[in-house]
Amino acid sequence: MLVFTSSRSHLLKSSSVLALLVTFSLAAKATPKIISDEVVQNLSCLAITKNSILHSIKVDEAFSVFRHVPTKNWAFNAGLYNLANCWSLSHAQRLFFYLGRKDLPETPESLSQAANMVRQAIPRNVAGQIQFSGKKEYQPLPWNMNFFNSLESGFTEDVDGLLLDRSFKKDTEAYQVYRFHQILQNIEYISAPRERPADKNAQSYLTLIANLQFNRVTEVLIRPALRAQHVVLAKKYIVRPTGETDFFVYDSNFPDRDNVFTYDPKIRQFTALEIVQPLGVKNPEKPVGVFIVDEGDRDQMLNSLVRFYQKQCED
Amino acid sequence: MNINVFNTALELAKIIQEDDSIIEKDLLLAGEDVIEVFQDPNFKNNFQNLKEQKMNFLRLAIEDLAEGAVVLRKGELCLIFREGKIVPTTRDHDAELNGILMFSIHLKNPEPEIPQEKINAGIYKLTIALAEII
Repeated sequence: MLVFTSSRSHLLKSSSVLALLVTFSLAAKATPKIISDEVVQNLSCLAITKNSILHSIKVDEAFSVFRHVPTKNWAFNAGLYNLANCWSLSHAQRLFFYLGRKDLPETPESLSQAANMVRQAIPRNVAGQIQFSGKKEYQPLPWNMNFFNSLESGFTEDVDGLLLDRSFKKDTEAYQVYRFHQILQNIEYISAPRERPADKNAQSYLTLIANLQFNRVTEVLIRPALRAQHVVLAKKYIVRPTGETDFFVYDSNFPDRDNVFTYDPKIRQFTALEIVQPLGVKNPEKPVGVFIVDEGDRDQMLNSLVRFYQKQCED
Repeated sequence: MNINVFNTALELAKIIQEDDSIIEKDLLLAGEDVIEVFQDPNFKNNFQNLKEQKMNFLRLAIEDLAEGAVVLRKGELCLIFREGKIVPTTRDHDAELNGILMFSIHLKNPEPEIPQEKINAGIYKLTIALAEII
């Protein structure tokens, strides 16, 4: 609970400290409008593209620990097995990083949209029963303590005449179950040895570097053992003087701080002691498998941001 | 400190060069749908400074693709042979070249926004091309 309280206060503090700065240029028509907010800085309306948005992201603020989902990962029973929510929470964290804006208004619609985006599905009334289907299109959404509290404490949604009780917890768990079944279908994640070969690690490393250099936060599946896998969200990296690269991640087991995994180019292996230790596997200091997952999902978030900023440019 | 994307690709290329059986064929095929690397086999890599020039272009292409293909979407990177020299140049799609084409890199479909999975596959394709040259 300490973790919970601490990170909540961070989010609250950040809300008051980081004022939303949407700057509208009042200059002559020839001068393009410039947009800044808590995620981007000096984004020119001359060209709103995924690339221009990525380039204008203020990494240290946009992907700060103050904008983490403040809830710690939890376990739940999913029928035949117990699951935790790391994949679902990492997915939610990425959408809040890119799409969350603290000054957007909370409405019943924004709560439903957020729940749909977290769950990646839309509820429908099908012959008097609620069914979830389809993928919810991403949209910018409010991201502040009040909004998260509303989402977490739950709300009732009218789905074409049927009442549906929703909450962050329920929708997060639903998406986690969906992703877990996809893990089972991907033999690579569950059948290979613990350590991945050098070429696979070098490939994951290349993708991570190429992504993070251009502010593309990246979902990473870390596999310390056949039956222990954990998904985190890589945000940035630093290179140690000794040559290893530390990747800083949102880890749903530690929402109040950044966690780290490391690539050692000399042995071409990843290690993730601090991430792996809480999972209770043997020899947590040993190399782990690192898989880049859900690369396409980020594109949809960025496409939504393009529309969001294009509209701001037109206003 | 930023890590150079090209150097990271070069590391992977060296591993692949030692054992090309580890190439991920599906990913390479996906990359070949994104980007095409043309090499005229009549010009060997030890001809003049052709190897160095190819490496320079692969560096530019890998770094550009990682950034979203800002340069590659505008045209093709070409090395041409003209008046006894290797000349680096770019050309708009389908434009004529004044010389013999020795080496080129171009996007097969220069769409305005390239999906991330295609970018990753394209970088892999260029890394394999790098492994064939180093």
